[in-house]
Amino acid sequence: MEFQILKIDANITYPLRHALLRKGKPLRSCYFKSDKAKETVHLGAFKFEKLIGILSAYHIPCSEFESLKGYQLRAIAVNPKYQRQGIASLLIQNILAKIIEKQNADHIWLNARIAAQKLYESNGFYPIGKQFEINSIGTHQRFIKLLSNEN
Amino acid sequence: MKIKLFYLVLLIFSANFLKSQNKIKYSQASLLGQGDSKLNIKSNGLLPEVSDAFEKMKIAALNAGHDIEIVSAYRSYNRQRDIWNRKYLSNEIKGFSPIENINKIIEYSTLPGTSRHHWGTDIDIIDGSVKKDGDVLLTEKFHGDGPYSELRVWLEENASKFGFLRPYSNNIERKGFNYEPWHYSYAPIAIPMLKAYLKLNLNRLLVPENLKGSQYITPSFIKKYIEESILGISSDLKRFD
Repeated sequence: MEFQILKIDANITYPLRHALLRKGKPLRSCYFKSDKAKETVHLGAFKFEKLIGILSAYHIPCSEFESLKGYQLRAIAVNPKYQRQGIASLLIQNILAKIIEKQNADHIWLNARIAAQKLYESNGFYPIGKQFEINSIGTHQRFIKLLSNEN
Repeated sequence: MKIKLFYLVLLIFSANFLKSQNKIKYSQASLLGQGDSKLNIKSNGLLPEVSDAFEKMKIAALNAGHDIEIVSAYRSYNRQRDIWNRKYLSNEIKGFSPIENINKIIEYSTLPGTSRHHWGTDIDIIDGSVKKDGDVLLTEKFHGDGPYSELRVWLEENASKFGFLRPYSNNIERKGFNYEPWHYSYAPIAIPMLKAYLKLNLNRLLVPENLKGSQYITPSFIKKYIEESILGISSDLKRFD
């Protein structure tokens, strides 16, 4: 029950992204623009030496607040054998701490399947805008967490 | 070919003629902070004429031992809209009703399209020679033992010689935004811009669909907002003619 969260290279995330999020699709469907950008952070959750969870954060504001500084979370996935043990929350809390540390972000956001609503709400995210469909994946909702709280 | 050339010359001539007549001096876009790429704003966030006046003031201040630094000058409509929507969302999460929400935001922020910072005439300034410590635009930093107290005293005595006046003075008779000792406005341009601004159809222009809470920003709200907030400035900056 010992999990470790580490910063990893984009390449390390691809096998898990492929297996869990893009199964049956070409591997290149797992390559996201900005994966190698300087501001991008990839995190991995490890049990002993084995990678069992991933999360990536990109320095991209959400379209509602385009002129502000934001980070988008994407490709959050946990190996089904290790789900329901709080690993996704651990990854999210870890990335929140890292982004808050940088002190240059106004908000963090993501588009998530509505099945994951509880996970994001319990980590302080708030739904914004209407739900929307993504073909072959299902109904999604955008969530946002505001960081600074001035005025 | 000759005819085309004739029209081109006519077009250039008439455009210059209109400019000389001041008819198109302040476009709607330039008054609302829209169409950034077409605006004549310099990299320091000021209109060229304002920038020249600012540089003169900066040199005079340097000679008196103050290093004026611009914290904020031009701000686009879109930027102000994002700030507004961001605050609206933040207050909404805290459970504010729409009316409470809007009133809370306008304590400190302007309705997008109504900021003097849209014009390229206004600046928020501090003394750049003092090491920054947290928020810089705080009243207490400009008074008493504050780090910008000496700069404020110098500005109060000298800024007007260069055309810069304070819109949000500490005159208790003044309504609208709180006292801002750091905010200066280049009067020779800001005054005619405000005059042109007040002629716009603000009831229509200030409530676009992508502004949160826009359905609560009614003509009567806008009327009061113009009277108290937009015109809640020192009288020197609304001496039209």
